[in-house]
Amino acid sequence: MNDRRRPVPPAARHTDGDDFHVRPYALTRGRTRAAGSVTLPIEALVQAVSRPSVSDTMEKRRILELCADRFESIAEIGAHLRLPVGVVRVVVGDLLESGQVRVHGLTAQSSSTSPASPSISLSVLESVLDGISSL
Amino acid sequence: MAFPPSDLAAPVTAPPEPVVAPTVVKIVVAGGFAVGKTTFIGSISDIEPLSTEAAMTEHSLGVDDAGGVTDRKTTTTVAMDFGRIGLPGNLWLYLFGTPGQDRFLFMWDDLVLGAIGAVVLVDTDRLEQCFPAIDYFESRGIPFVVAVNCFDGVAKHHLEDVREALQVPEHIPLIYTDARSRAATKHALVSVVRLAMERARTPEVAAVG
Repeated sequence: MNDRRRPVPPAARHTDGDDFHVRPYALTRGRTRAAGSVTLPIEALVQAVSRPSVSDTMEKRRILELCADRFESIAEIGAHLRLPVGVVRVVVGDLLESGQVRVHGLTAQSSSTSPASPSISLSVLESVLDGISSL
Repeated sequence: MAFPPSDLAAPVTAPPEPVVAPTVVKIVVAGGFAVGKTTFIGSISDIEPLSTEAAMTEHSLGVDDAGGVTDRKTTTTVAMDFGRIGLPGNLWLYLFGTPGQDRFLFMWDDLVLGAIGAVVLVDTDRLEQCFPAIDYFESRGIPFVVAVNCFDGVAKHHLEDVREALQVPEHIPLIYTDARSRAATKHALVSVVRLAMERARTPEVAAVG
């Protein structure tokens, strides 16, 4: 029965002391959405604008510390802190509401209703093409 | 196990941190389980491919492992691997690998939102594995290329035979790649961006599909 091809969740693979013992959404008080209405793209970059304070939850503090002097995407925060992306979105959304972080990269996609039409400008695409070609 | 371990979260020497927020773009890397997505991403990423968990709750109706029919809410955790490439002009290109099993298709909308396009990796020994990905991107009009992964650097099949077997229309680029090769990965990514640019110039093509 143990041969099921289930990927081992990252949290279960690490044994260095900070394993994830709490049910993920307990950290967000059961919410799967942040206080604000935006759903943050997984590639959105987070930048802390204030230092963590004692009144912040552990997850908020960890995110603020991680993003203190660098830009980290929602996906990278999840990977580094071993938190599911959904949880990171909620906590970052809360930090955004309270003005403790800035989130960049919300403008690369327009407010187009169709997910099928990524309206990235031609000039950005040209820069990406030139950039990859020069690697 | 064709996958290399993906829990290598060790920090890699990174270029200096940008002062101004980079412009972020992404390309999605899809394909069947163990087709080499993480290898593909790792061949070009500035950072060691990272793995993050996407936990989701879905109302599922299906047959469970014991053969019983289930109809309930389930929480699934899937690992999603990704990498990042810093490009001149303060651009960061993220490469996101789709979770490898068809039953996670429902979370791709979230992944592909705002993406430049996608690379569908194909293993010619398991052609059928890439059908869901091809159907998915085609139905949503997302620019994508189909890249046949030559595992030993050897093309086992003619591209035209693969095209016929997959029933990939002529307007969709079909190329060889080698997930381990930085040059081959570069070529695949360039193909996607070119396709996206063509689409951006002639949006009606996308509509016709």
